[in-house]
Amino acid sequence: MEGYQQKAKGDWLDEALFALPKEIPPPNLKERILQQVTASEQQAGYLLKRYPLSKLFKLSVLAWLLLCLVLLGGLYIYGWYKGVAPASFVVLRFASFLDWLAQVWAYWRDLSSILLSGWQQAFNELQYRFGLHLVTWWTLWKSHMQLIGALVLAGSALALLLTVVLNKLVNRGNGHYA
Amino acid sequence: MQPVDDILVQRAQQGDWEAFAALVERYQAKLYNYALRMVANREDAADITQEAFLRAYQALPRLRDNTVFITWLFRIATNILHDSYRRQTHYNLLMEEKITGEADVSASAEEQVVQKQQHQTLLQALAGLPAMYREPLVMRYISELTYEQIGNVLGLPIRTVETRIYRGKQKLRQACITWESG
Repeated sequence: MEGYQQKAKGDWLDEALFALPKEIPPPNLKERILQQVTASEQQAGYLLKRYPLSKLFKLSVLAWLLLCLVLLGGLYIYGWYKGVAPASFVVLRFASFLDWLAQVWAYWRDLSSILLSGWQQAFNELQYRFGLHLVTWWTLWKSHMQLIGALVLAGSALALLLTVVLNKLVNRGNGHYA
Repeated sequence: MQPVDDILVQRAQQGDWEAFAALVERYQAKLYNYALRMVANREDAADITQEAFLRAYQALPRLRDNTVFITWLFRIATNILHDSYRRQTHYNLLMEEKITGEADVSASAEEQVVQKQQHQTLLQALAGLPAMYREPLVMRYISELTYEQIGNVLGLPIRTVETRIYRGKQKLRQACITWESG
């Protein structure tokens, strides 16, 4: 046998490594792969697996926006149907919703203060201050509704922009799937 | 990378089943041999190849650069291997298994026996190497990837790949000599 020690003088290792036997894969391997891929397509979770999450996310954001648009449109048409100026109807509806929210909040605040009246003074004080805090916010909200509306819209737009930018950054180079 | 890959990947991304089947046909042997030399078990190697192609198919829409398909595929397989390493502490080496590669038909019967013994020794030495050396060596010599491709698969600079292959070969040399003299 021509040994490795004799061969070690030359660059025998490269040749020997390249000459290593390559095994033929099992004859049914290709069929197995294709079958598994087909089976995976039929699974319930196929949508999530087949489409990248970022696309699903974009789709859900779009669906959400569409839903908002449809709701607003519905309200607008309903206002027109009722004989009220549609735009002011939408605004009035929104304002009455806020009033309702304020009533609910006041109810629960009062109830809680009654419930808590027997509790320690410190806790009552805390709750009172918390209530004051919210009332202040509500006053501000009512008197600066347009400004706050604009801020909310700008914030939403910024959040959407950030989402898109982050999504691009995360998927850059489509690197680390597996 | 051949342009045919580019076309096949593009077609597969558009949902062409035949194109994906052609990619499987094209790369299954390379991937299977890589996995086989890493896990030293034929059944596991076939499973890893299968899993790698499945994951590749599922992530195909996200592959933006079609020309890197082979390195991307090997990276998927490498990640599966690393996951497997984490799950189980060791793999059985191919010590007792019969080497089934094709011998050189032009050689005489005696030469064929010698050749098989050498292959056996070399494969055993290879199986005994740490994964950080075995991975680039197998990719280079069994799957015949370029240094650049290996670097892309492992996320390493080419210089580091060269160093690992060099050191791996040094260790192989020592192991082969030890086996022979022992």
